[in-house]
Amino acid sequence: MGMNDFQTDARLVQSYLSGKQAAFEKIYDRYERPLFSYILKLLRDRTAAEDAFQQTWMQAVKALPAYREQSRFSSWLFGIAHNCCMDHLRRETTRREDGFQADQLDRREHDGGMPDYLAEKNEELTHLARAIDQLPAEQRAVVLMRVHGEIPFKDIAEALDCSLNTVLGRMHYAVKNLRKLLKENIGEDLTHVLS
Amino acid sequence: MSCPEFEKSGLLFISGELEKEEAKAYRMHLRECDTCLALVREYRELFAKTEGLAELSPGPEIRERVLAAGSRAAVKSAAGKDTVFSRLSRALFPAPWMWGIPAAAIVVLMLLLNPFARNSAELDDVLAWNDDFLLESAMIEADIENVKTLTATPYLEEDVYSPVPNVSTLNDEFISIRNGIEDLLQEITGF
Ligand SMILES: [Zn+2]
Repeated sequence: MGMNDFQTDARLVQSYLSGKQAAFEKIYDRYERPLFSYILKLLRDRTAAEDAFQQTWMQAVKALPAYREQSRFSSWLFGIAHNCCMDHLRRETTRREDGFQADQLDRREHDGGMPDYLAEKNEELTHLARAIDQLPAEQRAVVLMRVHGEIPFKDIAEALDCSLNTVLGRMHYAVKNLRKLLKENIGEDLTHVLS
Repeated sequence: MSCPEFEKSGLLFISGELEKEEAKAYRMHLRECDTCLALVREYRELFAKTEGLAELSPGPEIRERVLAAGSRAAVKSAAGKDTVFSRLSRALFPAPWMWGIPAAAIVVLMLLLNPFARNSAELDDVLAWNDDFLLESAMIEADIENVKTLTATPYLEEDVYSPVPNVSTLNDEFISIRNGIEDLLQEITGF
């Protein structure tokens, strides 16, 4: 999404706030897939993701009259989504009374093979999707917001409510990890094919 | 294998987020730093690949649910804001107590048109009260102007009116005055 979309977003929001229902449908259709992809790939569970996705929109609808155009609509919306996801992970952590930490949730194994949301149209992309899926949540959040939200790093910092340096640092770590994971995953698959 | 310049500017350069001068400086650095050049290439390639990643949709019933919530909110905000009458009345009488002005004017007009009330002492009282009310209104308005000028940050009309301390006491006063007028009218007209 370029600068143009940034401006159309603002116009659509204004139009919706002045009572035009069709403008909301346009906003929704524009963001349905990018936003859901972000949430699903961050939470890695379809039921949880659908919950958080709806919660995001309910909160956005409520907060829209207070939305100010100095922040990009997409980063505003993804910021709400991120908070909904964090709430979900926190609840998940307290629900498991065995002291399971959010960080450990990151490393939990997927039971029964590869989840459907990691299915890609070719092998190279599948490797990439799986590698991103293995990143720690905070690095994954930055990568996914960049990939699916097409949000500039400066706005990601705003959406995640942290400094630009933190965002850049997480991205650098993410790329380092991806480099390693891609090498490992492909190596693994090759040995699997060869044996 | 890294370079402090890449840590600082590389990602923002790739993402097109550097200021013109900063981008120019980093481009100069790229000419003499092989590490940065290799990293920029690697990152660009990776970002290009991620553009091919699939997007996913939630179940179709979720779209309906969200749109319904959006339309309920739109109806609510439209009902609260957008009739010609409400806009006009807000423009003329931005604070609720200002409705007292036309109310008082109507009462006075009714009394003036009432043949039994002409020249009566009660009418003089009512007219005197009406003057007081307008005077008080003007004083409150002056207070509001003070609040406005004292508030350094940008304000919303609603924010200015709500902190005026005597609005609720004024309301009570207004109710008692209105009751008084009703009594008076009853006496004058006999109803
Ligand atoms: Zn360098």
